Amino acid sequence: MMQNKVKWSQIALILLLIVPGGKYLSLPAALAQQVGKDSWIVIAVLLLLDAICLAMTIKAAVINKHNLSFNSVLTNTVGAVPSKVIYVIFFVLLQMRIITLMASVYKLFAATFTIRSSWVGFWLPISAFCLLVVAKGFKTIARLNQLLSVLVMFSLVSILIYPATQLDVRNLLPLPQSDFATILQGTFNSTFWFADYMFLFFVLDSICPSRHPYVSVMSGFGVGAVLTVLMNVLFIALYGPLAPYTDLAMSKVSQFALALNTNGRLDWLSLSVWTTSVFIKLALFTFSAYKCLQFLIGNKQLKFNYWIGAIVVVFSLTPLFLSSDKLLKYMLPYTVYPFCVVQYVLPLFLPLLVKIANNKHDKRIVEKLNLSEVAANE
Amino acid sequence: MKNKSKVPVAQQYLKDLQSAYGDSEDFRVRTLALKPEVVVVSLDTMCDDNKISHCVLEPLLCLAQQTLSADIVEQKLSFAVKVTKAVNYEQMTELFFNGYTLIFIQGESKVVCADTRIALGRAVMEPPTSIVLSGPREGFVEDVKTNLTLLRKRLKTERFKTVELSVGKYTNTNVTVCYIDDIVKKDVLEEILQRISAIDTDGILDSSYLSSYLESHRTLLFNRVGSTEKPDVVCGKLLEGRVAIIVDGSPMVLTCPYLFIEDLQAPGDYHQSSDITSVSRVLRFISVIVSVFLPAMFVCLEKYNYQIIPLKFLITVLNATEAIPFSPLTEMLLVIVIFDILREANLRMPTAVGMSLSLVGAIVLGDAAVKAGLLGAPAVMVGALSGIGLYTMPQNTLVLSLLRLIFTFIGGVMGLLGVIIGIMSLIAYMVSMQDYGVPFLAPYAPAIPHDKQDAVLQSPLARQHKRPQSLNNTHNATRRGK
Amino acid sequence: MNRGKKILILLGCGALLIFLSLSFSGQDISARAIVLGLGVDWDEQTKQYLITAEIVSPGGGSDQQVGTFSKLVDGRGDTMSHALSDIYAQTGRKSSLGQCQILLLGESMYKNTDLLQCLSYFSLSEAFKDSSSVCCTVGEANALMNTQLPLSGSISMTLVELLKDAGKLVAVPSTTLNKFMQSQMVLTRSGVLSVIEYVENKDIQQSDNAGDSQKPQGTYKCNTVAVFKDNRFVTALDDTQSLAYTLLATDCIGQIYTVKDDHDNEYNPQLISAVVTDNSCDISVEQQGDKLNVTFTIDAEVHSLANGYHGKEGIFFPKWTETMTDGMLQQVKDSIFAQIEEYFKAQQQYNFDIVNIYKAYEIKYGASDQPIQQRLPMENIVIDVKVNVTEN
Repeated sequence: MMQNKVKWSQIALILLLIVPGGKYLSLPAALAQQVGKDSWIVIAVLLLLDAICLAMTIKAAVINKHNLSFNSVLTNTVGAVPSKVIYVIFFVLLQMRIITLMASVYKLFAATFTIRSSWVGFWLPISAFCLLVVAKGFKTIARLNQLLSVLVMFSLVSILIYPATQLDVRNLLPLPQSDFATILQGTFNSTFWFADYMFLFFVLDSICPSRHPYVSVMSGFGVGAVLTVLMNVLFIALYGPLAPYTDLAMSKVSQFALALNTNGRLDWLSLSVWTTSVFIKLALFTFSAYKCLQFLIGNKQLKFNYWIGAIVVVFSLTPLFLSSDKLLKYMLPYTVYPFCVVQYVLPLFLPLLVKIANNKHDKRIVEKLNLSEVAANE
Repeated sequence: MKNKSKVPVAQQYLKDLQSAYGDSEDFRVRTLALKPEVVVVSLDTMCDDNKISHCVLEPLLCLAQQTLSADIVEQKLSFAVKVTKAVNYEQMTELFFNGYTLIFIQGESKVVCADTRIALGRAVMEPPTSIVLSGPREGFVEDVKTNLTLLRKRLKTERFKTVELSVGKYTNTNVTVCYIDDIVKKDVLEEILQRISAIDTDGILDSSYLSSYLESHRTLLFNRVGSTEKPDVVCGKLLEGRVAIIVDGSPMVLTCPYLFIEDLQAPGDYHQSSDITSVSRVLRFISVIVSVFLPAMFVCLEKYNYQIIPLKFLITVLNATEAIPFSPLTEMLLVIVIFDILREANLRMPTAVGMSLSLVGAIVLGDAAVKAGLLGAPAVMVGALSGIGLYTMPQNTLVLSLLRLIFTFIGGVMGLLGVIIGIMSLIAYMVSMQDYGVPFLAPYAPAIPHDKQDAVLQSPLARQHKRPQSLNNTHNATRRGK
Repeated sequence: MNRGKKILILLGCGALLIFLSLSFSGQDISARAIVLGLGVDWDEQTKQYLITAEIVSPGGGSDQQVGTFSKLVDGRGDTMSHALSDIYAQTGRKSSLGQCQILLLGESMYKNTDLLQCLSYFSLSEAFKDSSSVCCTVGEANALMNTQLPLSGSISMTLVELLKDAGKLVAVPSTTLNKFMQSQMVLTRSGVLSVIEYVENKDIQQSDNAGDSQKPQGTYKCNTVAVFKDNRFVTALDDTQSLAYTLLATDCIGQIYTVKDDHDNEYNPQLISAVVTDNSCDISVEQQGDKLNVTFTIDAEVHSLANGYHGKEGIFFPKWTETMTDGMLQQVKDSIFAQIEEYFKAQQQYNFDIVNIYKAYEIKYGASDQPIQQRLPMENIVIDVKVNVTEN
């Protein structure tokens, strides 16, 4: 399963979809509460950081000539124990991202689409889907994303166009509203919601070489980033001072569809198509969490392990006991620092780590060859 | 395939054959007083009497003055019919039951077998499952030789090769694997031959029996092997690099590898303008999507998301469903099940009463049920539209009908969430399917831009220079002439 | 797979199906009260909200008359949600606001209470669209919703068509819930709501339909606005002031000015109506000391109103007046000046800003923590208006 290889163009499409995916739910209102109308500036800054880290991650994958896995790279460079610590941090981060995203989607379906269910009833089909996709392999996620990308982009663009005649650009002015320190603080506090490229760490050895990986991947990421910023700009332009008091930005924005009077909420069809990108993001995070746990417990099976998969998805039952808002409120102030390390510091050093690991691998090969020559001579 | 076991002794074989099958009414033995004595054995039901008398007995009698041997007999008879020598008992019986006449020459170790098979079966005609407005109207029949002739007359090249295999312990069915030597991918061919050779079963009565053996692992719902009754379609697929499998006794010829998109492509697509074809295919694609998901969306919108329905339509639906005693899910499931019952009954009812019963079904179940207030008109309309649209993809109709039922149930229980998750799960399942190294949803997942020239949209045939890359034809990728 | 495992799997699937069916709750559309429009009044004696909901009522057959597919239901409560629950109790169907297009606020409601209590319920609700129209009524909303329509149909849908679709072309301003809520939160916290007045026509004959004969028949006047500050009613602008508002702060066209024809042609009528076919208003601010000079520049295109010509869409009209002369254009200009002057008098008197003067100030000179009207009192604002009128 884990031997499936994907192309850089597929990675680019994944980033195109998941960068905007999930960031249009609760995040815009949460950011508006912190930094007011300058929330789109915060998002732009964070996406710029993401772009730099993504470029370094691509470089690491490109120079990984021996197709070493992330686990091999870490154990051969930082050692077994520190690498396990890194996996633990990743696992916690990914689980929190999954829970937060699921909670936002739950709210979207319950509040906007009025499809109310118990958390378990909601969790079951989504977890089943995530496990199915993870069991089939990363290639399945990439192909699924490839198939849905055109539809999702089309729906996203149509939602952006819907309120075109009704927004008030003056709501964005003056620019910037807050001071630099507030924006910086908001940026730091919001890092949890970004760094969606993290999944690349876990597929370092599953990417087919290509001539122009940077062009395709950065283009895909760039378009996704632009759409994310535009969406936020639109939200602020439409809601202005009301922005901090809303909940789900996407459903609020889409209701300004043109000629809505008696034509029905056809914008919800666009919204439904867009939510597929959120589910793909969930599947991707589940895959990454699976890989983390696999590395943590030292499982080297190629075949999908149902027990590990079950453990991964069981964590998202946490909202039965503790709501996602409280989870973020209590845990994020402490975990934001280690999260920043794995999200933004690790990618900067990853090319170096990969180079060291590959050199060590080269040396081992040479040693083996020498040993076998000696044995043959004897 | 039979194991080689007995030492060849022709007279012993004759005795064994007589003791095993001699009491059968169609077992015919003719003894010719030649030098040496010749016994001619045949099965009346499988052999053509004219061929036996003109191509076997007459030439043998002409050799009355000579001392006969197996080689001389073989040489003499080969002017008229195909002649082979059986090397063991199993091969001899296999040929015997395939309509070959056995010639036992006293003292000889080998048995001479002459092909006197009776040409029994229906004539070549337009297949009922693939009717076209323009293009050839020939269709395969149950006889493998006729089917091969239909292919051979279109592929007049030495590169068109066939491999004959015998499958089935009791049926010894002739399975012929066809391919074009310099186009097909050799490891795909080897794998197919291996899989067919490894079949150990009582009998193969139809090509559909073979389908499950040709798939690499069991999959739910979807066919992984294509089938068609049209020789021009098979030739087109052979020219793209696929392998065709003809099964004796079945008019359906199998093709592998198979893509999901192939069922959207009708035989008539290649006999009209590519623009018209593109529009037709898009229409088919939309109708399939609508057929499978429209009932689910209708139920989902009625129960959970009425806001999506335009107001005036909503009022119409409310007017129609006000007095209906069933919930939207139950109502829609009833409509779908009734439609499926009608379809199944229509396939099996005698032609004489078919028309009348169809009318009864339509009027009673459709019109009367609506007027009685048991079913709503919108639900019946949605169910009917969905049911008709399924037939734009004839090979997967039953699969799509089942999917329609499942999605309707999911939509009624879980609303939009269930429908979205269901669709994504279905697509994830389909994109993970892969046989012979070819992804099932190629050329869309993974995206193979070149292959999209003849997927849903079709480029003009004159511009399709290359063969499909999804079939990995790297060694002979270009469609070119001499 | 052995038999026991198969049975277990089947049982598991069955249990899953049952669990999922019970987990997800939905309601058939026939069990919902689909609300097309809401009217909210305030009962000063009982201190309760009175909600009038126009609910879709299926006809149940093809012989049902067009336009009689809705019914009015009243509900009372201490809060909005309480009043909506009362409707649930009366009809046995839960109110579904997803198709609600308009919210009417009765006179008792907007003159006697803080609108925030009422509007925040709808603003925070995911079901109620923020793009729905909100307006005030002269008199009770309940009375207005019980009136007969000039053209048969749902009153809510008719009012929405008038306000949203036709409004921009006939100088009828409209506000959405979102815009109004925003206006009450920033700067001077001033905003407007359209005012709908029902004008009964006592000369109209009773219709043959017994049901309709009990409802009064008349027309609806929607071209004035009411000003609100901090969610409280300030004043209702009259026709003149409202027209000026549409020129200064909205993209409405269709304002009509009657001028004397000064063509030297005895066959022309004496009075000509000119309609505004295009309108834009720029605002520029310049601070000088503690004074703020504000200049409104209105560019209006007008055309003489001939047969069937309404707004920009009219194509054919008979040529009975060739052009508007400079004199006629000057008359239009004078009329506009007079209207604007009336408007600014009201603005000065009641101390509100619904034409974005303070917004323009903030954009140019930046925001600060100090309330804007403390930074710049209204009396320090000097307004200059330039009007350019050209013929279309």
